[in-house]
Amino acid sequence: MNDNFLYTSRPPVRKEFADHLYQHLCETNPERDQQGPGEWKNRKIIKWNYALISIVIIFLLLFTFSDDVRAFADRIIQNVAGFFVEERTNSPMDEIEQTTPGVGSGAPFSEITEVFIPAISLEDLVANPPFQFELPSYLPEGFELQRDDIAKSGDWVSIVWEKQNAEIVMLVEQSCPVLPVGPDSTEEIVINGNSALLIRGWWGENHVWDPTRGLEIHWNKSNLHYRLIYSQRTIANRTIEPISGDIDQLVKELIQIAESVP
Amino acid sequence: MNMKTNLTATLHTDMVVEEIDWGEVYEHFLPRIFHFMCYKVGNIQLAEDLTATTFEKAWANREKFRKNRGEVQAWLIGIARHVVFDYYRKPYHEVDLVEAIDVPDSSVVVEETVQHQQDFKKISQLLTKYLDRDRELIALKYGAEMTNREIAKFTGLSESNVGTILHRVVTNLRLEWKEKE
Repeated sequence: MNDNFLYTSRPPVRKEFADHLYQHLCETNPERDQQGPGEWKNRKIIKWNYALISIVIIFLLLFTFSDDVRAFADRIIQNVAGFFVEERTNSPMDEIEQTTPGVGSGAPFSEITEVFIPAISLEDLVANPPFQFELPSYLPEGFELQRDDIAKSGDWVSIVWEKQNAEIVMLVEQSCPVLPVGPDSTEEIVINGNSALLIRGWWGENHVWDPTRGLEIHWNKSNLHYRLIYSQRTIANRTIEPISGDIDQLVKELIQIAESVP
Repeated sequence: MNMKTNLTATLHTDMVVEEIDWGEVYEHFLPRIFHFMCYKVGNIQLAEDLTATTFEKAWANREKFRKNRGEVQAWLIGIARHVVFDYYRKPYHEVDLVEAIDVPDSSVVVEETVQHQQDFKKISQLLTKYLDRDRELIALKYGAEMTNREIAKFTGLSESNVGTILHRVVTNLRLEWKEKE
């Protein structure tokens, strides 16, 4: 297609116009624009360097004299298999209990405000999904869908399968938060050829991480964040207990479930 | 463990945004915005005014621009389109496209530029016979120098549709251009 005439017929930009407009733009934005284009960048980098050095000095001073800052430094946010995990020495709930008046040592559990999320039927979920997501085609033998535990919100869906005292929860979310985990509890695995995250454990008594109290795998698919959570609970009061059985075999089964999500 | 309540904890990391050299942006996009305006309004003086308005708006809001360098073009063209739309929406600014072409351009003094001006007036007159949509695509392609794919994304048309329309319009324009020579 000979379209050269559409380029050659364009009037050139007048230099006087270009210079005048640039000067006008600089005058209306004097702080940044009096410098040449390249100098903007340098000036901003220098500014950021000063800011960064100041922050480091303040942090070091606080680290020396403040217990809170030292506690904060204990947590490290890392990227594992594309997921942000925050390694902590204590559970997030421990922090809430320590900082919320009326909650904590000696306070009755009933005083904690619980968030009530109404369960919905499977039919409701199928008819009105908050977004399009997929279900696994494989489940280990004996696990049954818990129809009373299906829940959804605008940006997540939760489905539960149970077998005796074992529970598998599948959460599908439209975004992935930073995941609080215990020390050395994460590893990268592969699901259908893609990187995924395995977390071994959950917070136990006294808010301390217990590597035998649960398994989680996280993976992303079609812009959604999927997670499978395996745990075992006491029959009497449904509290989480350490997993009995072959944990590595359970990991394989969770991966198999994840890989069956189309 | 109540995982359902834990879902509300959403700590997101900030999006990584490239450092943008706005001086380079100005140098690179000034001709594109100006030529886009030329094809949109068919008048050089008016195109300069609307180009200036576009950059004033962009400069005033550039602190809020939190996307990457590659998206600057779409952002600027988006502002330019709104500037043109606002211009024609105001009744006291209404200028008929054919009349606008006849407004003399006081800026032209050099012979070469006079030739450019004549060519531009000729192409602008030819374009008045085409649909708004066709002129818009010409302005985006030959003014803003966007690719067919970028135009498709920008206008909501399919890429093949953009290619087909542009091919038809350019073929007809070329024939009419030669007839007028």
